[in-house]
Amino acid sequence: MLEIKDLHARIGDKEILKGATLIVNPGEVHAIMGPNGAGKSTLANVLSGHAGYTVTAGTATLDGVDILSLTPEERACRGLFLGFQYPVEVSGVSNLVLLKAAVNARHKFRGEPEANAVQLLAKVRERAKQVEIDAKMLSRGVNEGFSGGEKKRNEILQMLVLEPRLAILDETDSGLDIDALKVVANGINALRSPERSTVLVTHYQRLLDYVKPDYVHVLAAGKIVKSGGPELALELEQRGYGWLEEAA
Amino acid sequence: MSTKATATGAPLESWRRLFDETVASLPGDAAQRRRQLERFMATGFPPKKGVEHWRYTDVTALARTAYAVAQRDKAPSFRRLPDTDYLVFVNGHGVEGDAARHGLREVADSEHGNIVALNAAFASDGLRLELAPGKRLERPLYVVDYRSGEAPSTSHLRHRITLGDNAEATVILDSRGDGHYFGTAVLEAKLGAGAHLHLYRIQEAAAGATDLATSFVSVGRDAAFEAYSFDLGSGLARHDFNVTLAAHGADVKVHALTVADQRTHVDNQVKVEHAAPHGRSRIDFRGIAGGRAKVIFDGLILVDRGATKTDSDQRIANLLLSSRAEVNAKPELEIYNDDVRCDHGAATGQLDPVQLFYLRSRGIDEMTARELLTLAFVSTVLETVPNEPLREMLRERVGQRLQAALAAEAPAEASA
Repeated sequence: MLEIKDLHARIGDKEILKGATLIVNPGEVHAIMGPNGAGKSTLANVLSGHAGYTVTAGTATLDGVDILSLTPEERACRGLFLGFQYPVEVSGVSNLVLLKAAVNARHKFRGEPEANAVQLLAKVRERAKQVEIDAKMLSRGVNEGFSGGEKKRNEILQMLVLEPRLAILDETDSGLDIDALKVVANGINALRSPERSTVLVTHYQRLLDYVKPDYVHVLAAGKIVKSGGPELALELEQRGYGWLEEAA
Repeated sequence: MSTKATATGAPLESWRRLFDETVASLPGDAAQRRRQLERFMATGFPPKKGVEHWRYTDVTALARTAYAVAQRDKAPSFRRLPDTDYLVFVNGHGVEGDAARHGLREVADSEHGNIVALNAAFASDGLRLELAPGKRLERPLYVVDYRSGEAPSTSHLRHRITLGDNAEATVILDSRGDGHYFGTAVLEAKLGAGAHLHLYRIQEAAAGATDLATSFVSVGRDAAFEAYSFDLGSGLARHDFNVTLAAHGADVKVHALTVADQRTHVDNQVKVEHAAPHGRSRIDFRGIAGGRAKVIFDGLILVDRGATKTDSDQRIANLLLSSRAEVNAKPELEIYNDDVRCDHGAATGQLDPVQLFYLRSRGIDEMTARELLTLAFVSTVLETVPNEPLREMLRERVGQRLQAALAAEAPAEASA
């Protein structure tokens, strides 16, 4: 589904990704772990099309299509979803308006008529319940005045409504208490299926107690330096990243 | 036709000739009108340079253009709001609505020169709303002010709103048009003690138009005046908006929005004078400028010596859609006593790239994302409109205006 080969990217003059390679097959959950500054968020942002990064070498394809040349919206319509580490507040655009525009953008991309507004609203309400977001918050501005935990749950709500084929969740677990973490994990698990894949970018292995990954990778100094099964996350929890950073 | 042929003399002389040709057909005392004309002749149009609050708006072309008095015409068709009374003016003449609600008996002498004097000399009709104490206008009064001109034409309206103590009204002044015309409208409004006036001004002048409005509003004791201003036109428009909190406890709110693109020029000069104690005023202006548009907003809060316990706040926010657009926004305070609370702020920026990326990462195309964010920017003004059908109509008209402005930017700004 997702194939990243030897990806190099920079912000300004600073090279952050230095040859990242990763293959994610349908149905798989991958966790990308690593120390601060290793390039985890950069990888997530580059894949979703953030204009602040320049790709200098390498490729990334989604279902065989080169996504690096696509606009962020085209990548999203092809099934990519980025859960933001810092979800953005957009006052004046309600959550419902955002979701409706996003769903209809996908319909338009596939050449389908607009979504039925009543059915869409019912779906959004049901998914909101799933992640414990009050229906009243749906008509408020996107993330406006939301707590840190509410913002993260709102990212999961968007994911559940948009049903991406590949979700990249950038530190969606950070700053959550244990109850919120379970809600978020349940949301992620609800979308797991043989056709969908998830990439969890995380600093801690805590989330992985609730969302069982198939593979764990360590990103250090802009490269995947080690890959393994879930047991690698536990090892990292005990040993830290130092031994791998030295290896990188 | 004669005006065209004789437009070669000293610039203002063509206006005198125009007056001589039309004065007989104008209502009221001709001698009084002539005094106003002379006042205009003496003061003329504001010059290009030297007058501080006209420094961004050049109307000297008005003196050089050969205008003819606009012809009477039928009303154009337009969408109507439910449960609303309509009064329609076409080229300066009432053509539809309650005859008791419009007409001019006379235009009183005043010291105002320039455009207000020109208006006093030429005004042919206008809204006349007088409510007795305690009376409430049951339905909003929607005044359509339509003007047109194939060849340069000119027309002038003089509106008067007088609310007795505790009277209440909602009035919408909607000026629009087609072609090449120069129109003025002067509004004089007076609110008695405890009166409430919701006044809307919607300006959608044609690209070839010059639309100059001047308003004088006096707000009485504990009276509330709420103004909503929407500049959505394509031509040159200016509003000199003078509000006086004339008695104890008056409350004034001004919500204003300008959307301009291409070569549109919109100038709002808001002057709020606190002349009595315990007055409260709020100004919230939002401007969006694309293309080579010029948007000017000057908000002056003037607090007189006796206006103790004044509470005022002024907020200005502008959004630039293009690097060639220009916004000149200035909040000003002039305070002549110490016992006041006055605050103001002004900010000009562009669409937030972080928000833009967030929306696009959800699959929303760049154009739609820009539209959503600009709509969000103006929603704070739109949300203040209490009348729902009116709010929805405004939302639609503002939305269309924004779409046009954003579409015009698209080729230059297109980037992934």
